[in-house]
Amino acid sequence: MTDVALTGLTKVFKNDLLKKNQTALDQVHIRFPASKCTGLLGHNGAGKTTTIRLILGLVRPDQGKVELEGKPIDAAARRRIGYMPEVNKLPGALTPAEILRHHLALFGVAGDRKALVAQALAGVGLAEHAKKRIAHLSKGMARRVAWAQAVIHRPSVLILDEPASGLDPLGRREMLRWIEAEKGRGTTIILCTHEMNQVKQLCDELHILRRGQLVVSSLPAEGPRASDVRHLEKGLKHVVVVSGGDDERLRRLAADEGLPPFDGLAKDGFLSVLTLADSARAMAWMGALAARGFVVVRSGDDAFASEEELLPYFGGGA
Amino acid sequence: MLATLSTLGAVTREAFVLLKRDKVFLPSLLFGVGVIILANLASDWSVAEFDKILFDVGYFGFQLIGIAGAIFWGIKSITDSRQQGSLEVQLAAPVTRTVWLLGKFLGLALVLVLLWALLLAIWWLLMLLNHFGSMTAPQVGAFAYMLIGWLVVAAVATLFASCTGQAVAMFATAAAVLVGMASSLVASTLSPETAAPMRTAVRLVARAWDLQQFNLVSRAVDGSWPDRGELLVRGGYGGVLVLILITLSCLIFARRDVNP
Repeated sequence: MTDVALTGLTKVFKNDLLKKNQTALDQVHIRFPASKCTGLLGHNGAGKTTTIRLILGLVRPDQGKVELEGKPIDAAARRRIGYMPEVNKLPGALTPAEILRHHLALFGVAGDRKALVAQALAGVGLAEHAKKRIAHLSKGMARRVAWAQAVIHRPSVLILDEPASGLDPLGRREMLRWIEAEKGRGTTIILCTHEMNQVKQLCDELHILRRGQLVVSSLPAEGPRASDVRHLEKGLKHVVVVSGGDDERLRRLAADEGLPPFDGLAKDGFLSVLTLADSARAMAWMGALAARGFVVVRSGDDAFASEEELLPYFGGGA
Repeated sequence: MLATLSTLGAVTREAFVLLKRDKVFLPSLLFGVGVIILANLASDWSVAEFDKILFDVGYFGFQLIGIAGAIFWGIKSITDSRQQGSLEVQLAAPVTRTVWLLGKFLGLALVLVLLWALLLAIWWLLMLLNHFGSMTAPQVGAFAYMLIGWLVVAAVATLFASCTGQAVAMFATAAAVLVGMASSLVASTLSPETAAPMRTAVRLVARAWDLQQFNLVSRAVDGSWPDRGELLVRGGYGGVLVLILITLSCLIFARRDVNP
């Protein structure tokens, strides 16, 4: 059971002298719960890829930390992570079998590597193409190799960046089936995607980034209610939905911890819906709530009916 | 330790295979064979100093191919991984950046050794076919020192590729090689009127960065082959340069974010 937690992550890319520094992530708190599939959404440039790179240790945070089961992610922890990038990042001069063997060597996987490779390639339907160079394979085939590469070492955390990108409908369906199978095995999955169908089908939770800030956190994949969507449309308010906290306890928490004021506090059955003016306030609340043992979650009956409903979160018009 | 060595071996093997399959490897080899044949013909057509002509022309061709290969592959090996993104996938594995970069350099070194060995074998064969007799120990030694020079250039290319983009790395490495080739020559031909600070600066550069230390071909041909001590100093100088350059590369590379 492996969970990944990002706490107060901030990343600023320092540009050339004449350009401004670019804040890719600003105080982002996200928890990817164990054995669940969590969607990470956002417009292009929202900070999804930077988040992934931070988890993988490819870039270093300016502030905050990334933890796997409560410990910083070191080389040993990286053995348990599988990664499938958005585009095929495979050397064209190598064959699928060579790439997978090399990958197993990098992960220090013991045992009969040849057999493991053959099994993995058969699993993605590429047994016949094991000795063809990647440059001679179709994009869809290369995508299958990338999938095999991500899972061949049996990771407990799988990071997928647009896994179905470039695949035909049949390939997409197959990819979704593979992801579901991994989910069934109890793998913690972090799924970056723009496709709502994938989110609806696969994700248990959802986080939305906008311009480096978390605008929606820990929502179930169905998304917030339509009223919240409208609310966000108007002022891009931040909603924190808390389970197990009554109004009185939340108000007392605000007073005790000196938390920033909220714009609204509504009840939704056993859930309390806090509306806050900005992500910094939402983060302060979420930190305090987590420290006091509240579960930050979201539940609602009104689902995102279409991608259009997501646009307000991405900063576009509805 | 064993795990680190195993990872290093894996990265080295991958780098070696990729470079060996690079489109430029075979043309480089063929170009080298062409130069060797040309050197043999030039030597045949000359009226005197057959050995000198053979080695001067051949050595120049060898040197050109090796240095061009060291620069091109040294930079390509790293910048291609960065641009294609395989660097990102590999560093997401439990591989330290130092091991990755070291593996890339070792893979490059193996490819250069392979190219050198193939060209030397062809050279030797052509000498035998052309009735020049077998190569002498100093002649082989001169080529071995040339290989050390290639490895130093490869380390410079690795250094620049680890901290900058392809084009800048290419120009910077080429400039560094030119300075290294010319430094001792410039230092030895300074005019007496040159200002003292300039003289000191040029001599310092020539002492620290002198690629002519690895050019022993004329001494192999004219019979003034250096003694063991001098050979050790020259070889050690190459080794120290490689060590410093690769250590610097690793230090810089380990501190940088991995971005395409």
